[in-house]
Amino acid sequence: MYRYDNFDARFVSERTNQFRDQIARRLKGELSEEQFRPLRLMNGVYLQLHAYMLRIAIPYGTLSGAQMHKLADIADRFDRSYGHFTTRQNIQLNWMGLSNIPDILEELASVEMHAIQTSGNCIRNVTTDPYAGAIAGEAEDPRAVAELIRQWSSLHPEFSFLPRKFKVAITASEGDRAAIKVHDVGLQLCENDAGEAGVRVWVGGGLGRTPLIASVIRDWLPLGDLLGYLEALMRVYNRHGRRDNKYKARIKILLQALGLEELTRQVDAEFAKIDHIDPDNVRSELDRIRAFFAPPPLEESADEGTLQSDLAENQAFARWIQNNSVDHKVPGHTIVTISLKPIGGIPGDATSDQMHLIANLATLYSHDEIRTTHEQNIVLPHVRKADLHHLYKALADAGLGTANAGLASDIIACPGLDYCSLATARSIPVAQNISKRLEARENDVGPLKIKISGCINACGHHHVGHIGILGLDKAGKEYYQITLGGSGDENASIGEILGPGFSYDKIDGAVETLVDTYQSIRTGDERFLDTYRRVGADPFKEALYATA
Amino acid sequence: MTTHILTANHLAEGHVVFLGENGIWVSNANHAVRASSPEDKTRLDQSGSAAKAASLVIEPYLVEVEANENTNIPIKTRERMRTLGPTVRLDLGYQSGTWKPDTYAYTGEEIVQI
Repeated sequence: MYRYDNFDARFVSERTNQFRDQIARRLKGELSEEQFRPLRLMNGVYLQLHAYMLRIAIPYGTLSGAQMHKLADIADRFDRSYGHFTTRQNIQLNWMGLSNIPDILEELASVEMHAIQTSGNCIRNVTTDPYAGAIAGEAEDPRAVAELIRQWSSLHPEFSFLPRKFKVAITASEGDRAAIKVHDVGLQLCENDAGEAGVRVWVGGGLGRTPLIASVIRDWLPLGDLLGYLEALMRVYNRHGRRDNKYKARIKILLQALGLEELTRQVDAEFAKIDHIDPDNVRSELDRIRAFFAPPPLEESADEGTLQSDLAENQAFARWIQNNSVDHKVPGHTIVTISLKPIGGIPGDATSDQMHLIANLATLYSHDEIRTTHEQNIVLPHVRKADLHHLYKALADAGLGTANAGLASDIIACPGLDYCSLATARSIPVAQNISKRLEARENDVGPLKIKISGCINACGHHHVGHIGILGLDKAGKEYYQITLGGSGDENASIGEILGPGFSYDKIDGAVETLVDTYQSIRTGDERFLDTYRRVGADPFKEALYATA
Repeated sequence: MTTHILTANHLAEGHVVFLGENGIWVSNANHAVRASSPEDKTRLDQSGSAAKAASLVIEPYLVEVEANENTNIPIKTRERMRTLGPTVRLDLGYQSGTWKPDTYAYTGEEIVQI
């Protein structure tokens, strides 16, 4: 894992002290709310429905056991003993007092964490593949490049007041688990034809009220040029991105306005002018950072302990292994997903006790590494096969053994109207009802991504759900629109609106009808998405609206 | 004629508050002062602006309620949730019955803890 050097530690400490002073001035009335608001947002502090919410950055979704323990301690001491893991791989605490926040930031700094740039019109937390460094076939561990971008973008003087927020995701695999094509900038580490390491750059993807799939703006770029190129791209966006209408301020709208050819021309022209970022320095800094992401000392082993007999004897364990584990690149090891989607539970929530347990288990079984996922789960990336049964039993005893990763009840849901001041409808109870309805048959249904947003801002990524649900307010009543056929992977697509929406009471039944329809028309081992892409919307519409 | 109460969030602690009698900001919407006439609503608005200027609360605004004998029930789901807490965690928020934040008042000159 990356460790702070003296510069990083001083930087975070100074920032904490600065925000402590800003909060004190606000509480004394020396700063108005209008003056203070952008300052608190830059430090991850929102005002939500019931209280302040603090969004803590988890850079590229990587945590140590000590960091997870600290998050749990903070949840216990300052909040309500739980945290909510988000679709940006961060964590949110929902019951904050403003006066406590400086002390919390100081606690976070003690384990090399912060809340900088988790909100506001700046470059946000860089997200990546939760399997980074553990899955076979990667060009390299993408977290080193993510850390390089984090350092470059943190309090970047030119890019702290952008037209709108800016999100970067990065992957190093052909299979995209970071949803790079629905980000402002998506980066795919890859080699060129000569076998040189570099990056493909996608631009202009996004969700929200204008969902778009990104376009390739540069097919391949040497890694030494990455920061210079990003700087050029950000400059063009900063210069021409609209500031008169926040709904048209993202780079995807600029891309639409200029066209890819013209945007490319402008970025290339700006890139040619940049002479203050030396590619050699970028390469040497990247090499320094890479050393922190050296693989853990895993020994190749065919020894699985009692795994096979445990699988034979314990059906629940076998189902968990089938759904929640993926082969590691080192034989004898596994990447494990800890589902934060218990049936009928709140997607993404973990109690402080569960967080402490995950931290302990990571130390025991996963070389002290934890990942958060954009699908609101936790990953332990380096688990010996021989340890899997011990791990499972400990998780299951704590309510963390749900065997549903990638299945119908593994639902992404934003906080929705239960917590969020922007929401127009509830998301969480809809997810709870659907998961209870579909639990019994989800293994037969197979891979199915259901994603729910409580407003048009799409924090629940509904546009890229195989089944997407958007909650709206219609004459004071919650009302849910369904989209089908979305996907956030390497074959990304935006879901299509199916037809009239459904009331809160009817939406889970409508989803069940869609699943019934899929099961009745699928062929072979088609996934829901495959079937939809084969047959289109008509059979689903017919089933849904004939019975509605 | 519609009835309104005044709500905001406490600046330092963040929790939801309602303006009650004698300028005291309370956590129970049922104890909020009601306004039905345009003049009373204007007075509530002015109280909110004063408490905001005094750095006691943030984002004060009027909420339409169904006014019963002992209860003020907001018309909108969002506002009902602010008086109670999340529908998915009945152990949290005011509905839990265990969370009773301190109450404060703005006297026109200073903030006083009640």
